Amino acid sequence: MLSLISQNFLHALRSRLLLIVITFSLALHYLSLKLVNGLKFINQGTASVLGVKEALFGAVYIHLFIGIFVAAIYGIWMVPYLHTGRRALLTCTMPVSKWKYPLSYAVLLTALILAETGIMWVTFGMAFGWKEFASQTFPWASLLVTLLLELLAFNSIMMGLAFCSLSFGALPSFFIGIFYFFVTQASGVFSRVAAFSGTVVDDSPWFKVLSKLPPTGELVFQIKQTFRQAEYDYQHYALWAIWWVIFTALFIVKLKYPQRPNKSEN
Amino acid sequence: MIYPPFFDPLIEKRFVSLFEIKDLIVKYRSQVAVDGVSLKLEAGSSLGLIGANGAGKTSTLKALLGLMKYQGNIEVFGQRPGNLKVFTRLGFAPEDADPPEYLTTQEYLRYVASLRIKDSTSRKHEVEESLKFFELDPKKAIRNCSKGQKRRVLIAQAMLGNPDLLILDEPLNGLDPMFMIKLRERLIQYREKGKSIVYSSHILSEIEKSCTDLVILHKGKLLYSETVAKAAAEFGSVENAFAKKVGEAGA
Repeated sequence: MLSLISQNFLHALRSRLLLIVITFSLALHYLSLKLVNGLKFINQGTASVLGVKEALFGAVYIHLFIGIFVAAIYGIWMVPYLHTGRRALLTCTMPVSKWKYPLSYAVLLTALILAETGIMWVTFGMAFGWKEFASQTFPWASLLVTLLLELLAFNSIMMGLAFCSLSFGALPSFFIGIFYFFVTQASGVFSRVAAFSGTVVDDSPWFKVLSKLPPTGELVFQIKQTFRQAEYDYQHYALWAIWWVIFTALFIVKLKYPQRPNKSEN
Repeated sequence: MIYPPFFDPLIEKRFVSLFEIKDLIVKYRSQVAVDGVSLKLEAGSSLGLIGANGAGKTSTLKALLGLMKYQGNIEVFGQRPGNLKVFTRLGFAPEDADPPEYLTTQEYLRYVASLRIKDSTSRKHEVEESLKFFELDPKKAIRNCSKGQKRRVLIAQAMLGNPDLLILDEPLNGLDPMFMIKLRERLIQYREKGKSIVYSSHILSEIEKSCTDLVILHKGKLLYSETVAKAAAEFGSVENAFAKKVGEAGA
């Protein structure tokens, strides 16, 4: 298992994915937090700045979208690498239990997200000062629970897209992922707006089906709720966990036979 | 027949085949690639699988390894193909494959060795010996290796851990003549230790020099199965045997 994880790490390192995650994350987090730190709101002649918690939530928001991006790239292009093309025959005949592969990919994705989280905290310290971490009001619990939810969601997304990539190829999976994300985000926003205006949408067949699918549309709202109010919708967590198990099982089934290379890919 | 865990086919090799294929049928959609092939391999033998392009050699090997759907009955070490226990005792060098390109030759062999060899000292020693025998630069990335060097890496990884069954699909493609001779001697020594080899190749002279048994496939069917010595005695050479049998089938 350890050798499999180290192979995945070398893959992430030498494909420069790790470097891209660190660089992209560092630039985006630092610039955003610096901008937020410099913002002043003027209300009836009184200037105010964003508080630490609000700024941190902004950073968590950016962290969420970078994490989804990393999970998608990793799941679509890097996870299938050993199982497709000219590597597939060798991988399939190695004395490695099939369940070890998705587990090792989950470990590496977790490591990448933790690296990104570390960068978020470092850039926060650089923008707002290191003393904020020692403050009694610093929301450590909210950050950690939010991170747990994100890790569960990202691993589900990674495994789902990896299964898609093995089934349909990398490029179609990329567009399937974008389409699904857009549709669920739009549906999530629509249902919130409808609820605000008193319109009932939960009874419609579309929303009933949507409520059972991987809840990417609800993820942003759940992150916000978890971070700000420390309230946890356990059904949301359970749904992500169930889909992670389903996608992992489908992925393992796909590993039974070597996948034929997609015509446009190696 | 599935053997109980305490029963080692290699100990009872007088009575048991290392693998046995019965009435194998492999289809790619409606096209039949292998049609009713039956063969087996005893411990300490090396089987040469020969045939023209599209004869069904690679499909037979893939079915044996559990890499594709098939009809018929196959047992390897008394287990179903694709079983993890089978892969711990088997080494496979495919024809059309590449190791992961982001690794160096040494890293890849170390990785495979870590899956097959438990003792770290033996593992280190075998990898070093393998790199030396196959004349591989340990620091060279696989993406920068030539076709011949990649082929050597494939054969090297198949032989790591001294598996009981070695399956080589066109192992000599891209190898220089000097190394072919060196590899042949190594494989003969390997067999003399009681290991078994399945060797699929178009180079009939190599089959004659390296193998104890011979199987000729043609259009998915088994045309001829005999020891190399008897085939050579009957037809003069393996090449003559192949030409005669395929000629008769074609007529």
